[in-house]
Amino acid sequence: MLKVVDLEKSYGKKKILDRVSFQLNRGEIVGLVGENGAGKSTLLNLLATITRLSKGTVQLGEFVYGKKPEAIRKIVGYVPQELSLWEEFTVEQNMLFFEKLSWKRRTKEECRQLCLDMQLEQWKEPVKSLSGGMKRKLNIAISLLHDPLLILLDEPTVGIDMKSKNEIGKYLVKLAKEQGKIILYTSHDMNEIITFCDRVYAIGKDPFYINLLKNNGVLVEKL
Amino acid sequence: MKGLLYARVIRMKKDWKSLTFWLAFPFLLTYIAIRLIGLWGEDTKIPIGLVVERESQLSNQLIEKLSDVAYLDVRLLNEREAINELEKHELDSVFILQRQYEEAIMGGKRKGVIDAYSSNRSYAYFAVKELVTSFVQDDVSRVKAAYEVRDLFKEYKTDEKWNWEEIVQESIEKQETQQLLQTSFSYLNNESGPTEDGVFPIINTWGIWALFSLMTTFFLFDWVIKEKREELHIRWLFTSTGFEKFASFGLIIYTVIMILIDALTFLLLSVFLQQQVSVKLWLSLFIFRIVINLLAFLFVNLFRQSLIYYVGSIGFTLILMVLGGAIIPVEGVTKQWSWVENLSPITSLLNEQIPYVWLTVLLGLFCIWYWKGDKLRA
Repeated sequence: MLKVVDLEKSYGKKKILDRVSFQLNRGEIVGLVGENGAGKSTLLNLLATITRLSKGTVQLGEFVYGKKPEAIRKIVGYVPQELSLWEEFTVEQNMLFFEKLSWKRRTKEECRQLCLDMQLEQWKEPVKSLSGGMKRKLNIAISLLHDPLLILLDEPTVGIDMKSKNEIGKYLVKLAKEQGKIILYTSHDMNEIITFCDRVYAIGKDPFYINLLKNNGVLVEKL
Repeated sequence: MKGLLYARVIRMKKDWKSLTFWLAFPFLLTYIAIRLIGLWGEDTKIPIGLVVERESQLSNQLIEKLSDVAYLDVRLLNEREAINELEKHELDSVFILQRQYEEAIMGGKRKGVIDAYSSNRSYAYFAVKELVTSFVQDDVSRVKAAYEVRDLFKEYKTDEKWNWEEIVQESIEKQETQQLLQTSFSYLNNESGPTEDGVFPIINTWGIWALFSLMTTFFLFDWVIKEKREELHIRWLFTSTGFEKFASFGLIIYTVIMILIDALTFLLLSVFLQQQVSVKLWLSLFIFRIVINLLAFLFVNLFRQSLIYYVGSIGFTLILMVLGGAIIPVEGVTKQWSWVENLSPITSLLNEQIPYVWLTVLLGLFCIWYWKGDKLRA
């Protein structure tokens, strides 16, 4: 379980997140929506321990955020919006490279299976020759190598085709439902959010997303 | 550790072609540069023709002396051939040792014993003529000295047997052993002496090698820029090692490989270029490698863009080479300000010393870099 209480984040005098509280349970896949600059990426960065929180408490399982970020990173998988890959490597080399530096040991077959689960079959192909959708899948697969409990995805499907979006969405649902992962992800694609998420949090002052989702019968809460 | 090594091998395997090229580069370039300089030296020798009308001990001695001059290409010909080649401008000048050469010298005469020919393109004629004259003068003076000794013997009516040849021989030996006039230009404590050809080397092979090696090291270390690029920054936070540990391990791996390549290079250079490699040189090479790898590693960490790094490293290399005296001798400067010697690790290599200051400072900076990165990661 991820429990966030009165979380605040400021950059200088500018407050980006103001007393944000919410809770995510195991097996849940939750969407995070909001206009640009609302603080979605900031919230994900805080939960991924990439930046430090200014105030509030965050607890993931038995770990409380604060002093030992490395212990938390071991159970957090973060998928950045930018592709974080070795473009000159093949899919195989990318997977094996990051597996060797991961906290969890996996066999070559397990690494390949992880890619196949996401419909990424081009194991021997160099990343630079892959389509945008395939690169996105690899970007996610690498983040899952250490088998994290909490998976944070920052617009993981941006700029890719419908088919790939669907495949990624279905895989995330499978991860949540079958393996009990906690998934929080941001997207501007409301169809994707409506289709795959159990719940949705809206962040920011503009009620646009809340109204839009409510009109579509989605359970949405304001942070 | 195994994982680190495996991941590093994956990275290196991808770049094995450029890695091999850059590792072999210092040896190849040093070998080519030294050979080219040698060939250039051969091509710039002044061709002169020497005609000996009658062989004698003194004429042979003169031929030997002229042949020993590094910048002369002495060709023994008959008069007709010599003049013919001079007319074709294949010779700079021609010198004919006359039939009575030895008798004339023994008689103390120095004029009219050699005929000299030149053409309108004999650019080195006057210099060579002066040289030949000085050698002849040398012999004449020696003969004169011998006769002076004979006259003194006569004047003081000494009983000792007078020996002309003994006096001349003694004079030659003294000139050779005491090097009364000979002075050699050597490069930065290069005490290797003349080569087999009797030529004193002006260029230091290890200085040339240091130049290429330093440049190569900087170019090879661009892997750091590739590995710490912005897109990968997040990934390193979610690895068991982090960037600092992985990069430091890379530094160790590269250093070990480069030490082995350096050792091989030194062996090859010592075989192909007849360079002396002492134990002190091996030791200073070992430390030099550690120092320049640390230097390149810390330097590359200051950059984010490869192109700017390459330009910066070329400039930095040249500065270190000039300060180290590998391009131009800086002995004059270091005699006045000895601290200048510490400004480049190359000086230590050429002097076969350990660059303690560089090693200490770089190790200190490396520790700070590692600690800072680890702190940021936390």
